[in-house]
This record gives sequence, C-alpha cells and structure tokens, in this order.
Amino acid sequence: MSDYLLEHCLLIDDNSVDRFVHRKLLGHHKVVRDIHEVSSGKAAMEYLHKCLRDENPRPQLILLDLMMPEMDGFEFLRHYKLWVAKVQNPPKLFMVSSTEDDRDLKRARDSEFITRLLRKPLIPDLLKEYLF
Amino acid sequence: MTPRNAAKKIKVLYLDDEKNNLRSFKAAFRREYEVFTASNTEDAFSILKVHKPHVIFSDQRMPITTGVEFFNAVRQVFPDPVRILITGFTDVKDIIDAINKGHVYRYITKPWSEAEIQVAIENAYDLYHTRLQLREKIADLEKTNNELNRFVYSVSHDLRSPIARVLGLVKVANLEVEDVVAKGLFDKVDESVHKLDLLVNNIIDYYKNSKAGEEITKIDFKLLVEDISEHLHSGESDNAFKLNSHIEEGANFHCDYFRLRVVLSHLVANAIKFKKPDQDKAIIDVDFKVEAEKATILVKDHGIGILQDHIEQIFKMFFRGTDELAGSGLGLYIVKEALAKMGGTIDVESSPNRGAQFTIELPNMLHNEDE
Repeated sequence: MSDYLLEHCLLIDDNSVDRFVHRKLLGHHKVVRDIHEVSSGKAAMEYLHKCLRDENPRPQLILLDLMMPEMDGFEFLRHYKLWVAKVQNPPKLFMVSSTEDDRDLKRARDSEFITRLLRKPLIPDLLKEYLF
Repeated sequence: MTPRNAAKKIKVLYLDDEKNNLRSFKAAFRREYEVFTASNTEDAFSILKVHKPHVIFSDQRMPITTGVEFFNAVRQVFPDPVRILITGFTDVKDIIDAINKGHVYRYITKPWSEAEIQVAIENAYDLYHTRLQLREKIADLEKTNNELNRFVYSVSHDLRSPIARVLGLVKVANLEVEDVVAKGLFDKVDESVHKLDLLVNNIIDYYKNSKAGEEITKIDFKLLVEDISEHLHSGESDNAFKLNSHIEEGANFHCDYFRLRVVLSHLVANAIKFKKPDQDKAIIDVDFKVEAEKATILVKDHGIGILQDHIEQIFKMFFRGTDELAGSGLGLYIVKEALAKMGGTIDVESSPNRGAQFTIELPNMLHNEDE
C-alpha cells in the first residue's frame, strides 16, 4: 500500500497553472496518489461515465473549479447529480475557487453534493481535515 | 429667468367651462406661448396626451369636476406639468388644502391680469425645467455610480484569481526548492502577494457592504465562527491563530449574515495582525451573548494593543496604526460602515501591550415572535 491518504482523484479546472499547483500540493502533502486532470466539465463527465464501465478507476475525491467557460462548476453538478445516482459510495467533492461572491458561497453551502467550498490557493491541511 | 430656445415656445393648457374666458386667454398669450384650451376635462386630457404642455391652468369652479379634482387626476398620469389653479376668493379652504397636498403649485385669483399670468407661466416653466434637469442629473449619477461599483467589483474579482494562482505557485516553490536564499525570497513574495490579496479582498468587502439592501436570516453562530476561521486560514499563514468562541444563545437572532461575517472577519484578522512579536499564535476570544432585543459580541485579543492617541482614529478610512504592520487601512473602516448599515455600535478598550477588546452591539432583527 502507498502512504497516500487516497488513491484516485479527479481534478477539474480550465486553468493549467491552477491544475499544476493543485497536482503539486496534493502530491507533496501525500493527499492522493493518482490525479486525473481534465480542463472542462464536459471532459469530466466523459471520464466519470467511463468509470461506470470500469474503464477508469473511480475517484474518491473530486476537486471542481467554479468559474469555467461553457459549463461552470454549478452546471457541472446538474450532470453529476445523474451520475451520482448510479454509484455507491460517491466521491467527496470540493469546489475550489477564488470567488468572493456571497451568492456562490451560499449556493455551494446549499448544494448536497459539495462537501465544502475551498478558497484558492488550496490549503492541503484544511482539505485533509474535511476529508474525514 | 432660464434662457430658452426662442423657437421652442412654452406650451400652456387652460381649462375653463366658460368659453369666453378661454377666448380671451388665448388672445392674450398666443403670440408669446403655444396656448391650448379645453372646456371640459376629456378634451384637456387628450391635449395633455398629445401635446405634453409644460404649464396647466384650470378654473376651480366647473360643473362636473372642480379644478382641484382635475389636477389630482392629472398628477397621477402626467406628473410633470406645473399646475396652477384659477379661482375666486370663496374657495380658500379647498385651495389651501390642495396646495398643502401638492395637487397645485400655486393659485391665481380672479380677475387675473395679463402680467400676473405671464409671471406665473415663466416661474412655472423655470420650475418645470429645473425639475427635469435635476431628474436627468440624478439618473446620470445613479448610472455612473452603478457602473463604478460594477467595475470595481468585477476588477477585484478578476484580480483575485491570478493572485491566488501566484500564492499557490509560491507554496509549490517552497515545497520543491531546498535553497535557503531562494526560500527567503519566496517568503517575501508570499508576504507581498498576501498583502495585495488582503487589499483586493477589502475592496470587495467595501463594495459588498456599500450595496443597498440586506438579507436578514437566522444566525447560526457556530457556523459563523467556522466560516470566519476558514476564511482566515486561507488568508493568513497557516495556523497562526487560535479562535476561542463562547456562545450564549438566550434567543434566536436574526441579522444580515454576510455583513456580520465581514465585521467579525476584519476584527479577527486585525487581532492576528497585531499579535505580540513573541507570540507564536494569536489568541482571540470571541463571546456571543444573544438576548431578545440584541446581541452583544466581544472580540478580545492579547496583542500589542492600541495607543490612546490612535483609538479615536482607528475607524477612519486609510488610517494605519504603524508603518511596519501596514494593512490596507480599510479594515476597521469597513467594520464601522457595515455596523452602521446594520444599526449596530462598536466600542473599543485597549492600552499598549494589554491587547484590545472590541464590544459590538447589534439589534435583533427578528420581528415576528412565531418561533
């Protein structure tokens, strides 16, 4: 067994630098061993559907950016909802964003799928606290 | 008098059931003004609709409606024209009442003189014109103000994501590089960018607060404390503070959640910023005491405290206590502004090296007792 807390994570963010930062932080802090990165909600849904057919390992953790072109984080959740209905032990999902908009905070808090909204930059210790 | 375009005559409407009066009025003023006359209210309304006169005269005594009644109806539909009543001395009480209620601007007694009417028209038009200009100016200012708010707000938001990105990169750099000199430089970058982040956040808070409107909800004080400490963990270097909270809820408490959060975040952030240099962690005690009428919140720190000379000034915009620990100078100003919007008060007690204690009182906005 590895000394990581989790095995598989899906990282959804349209910005490549943000993905780089998250990948590095999660790795250094031994949060998750394998990180699959996608740059859009659409690509994320494609990946998740393949998980249902066991073509991909199922993520235990999802980090979801809020502000993305075409499909934003909340819109992604509308598709994700249908997917979650088909799985047991759904992953823990965190929204990660630099937003300071109170409406976003409220929506995130009210969503049944979001464990927490975490501010960017990610604080791995805080994430660990909320994981368990 | 207001200079105006000679080609654009003042438009005047005169309503009177006696056709002779209409004729003589028109004869007297048609060269100077564009005069419309009507002998009943239906005609008067059609003229108002089509020609939009600036000034309306009406006789008080008419068979079906009185002048005051007519003006009252006009003002619901056409509020802009200035209304002048023409009347005999017998209706004094009605006239006073009409003027006081704002139905008419002034009255002229019969028999009128040409000079009197002319002065009345000129004055009324001045008023009409001034009101119009004022309304345009107000609309202009509101538009500019809204645009400015939106601009600052969206700029601040657009700034936050690259700032967060740089902060993240510095964290990664610190994890990947061993070199002591490089690490020292990263720390300086981190410190500077944190300050920038703080400033941008303060600007966002300031504009959030300046927005009108409020959203009153029931306050969950435990959630509030969690929210604040989470927010601060991501702003300050990790784990640099310990927040002890004590909640005594004698009643349900309602107020604007986000304003309350802004107030407390800034006070706690200040306590962290002004901890004593030999303190490892800033220790902050926050006590909530909720009663039916109000909530009293104490925020107490054990930091460097505030100089007596400064106590009067800390709530001013851009005031900074020390150069060394310079913040944006906005924090406590935002606190004061937010409290003003919530109808609350704040007091501070402090002396150097003995920490500071802020006492906030907020009215309970729970109005219905159906809990």
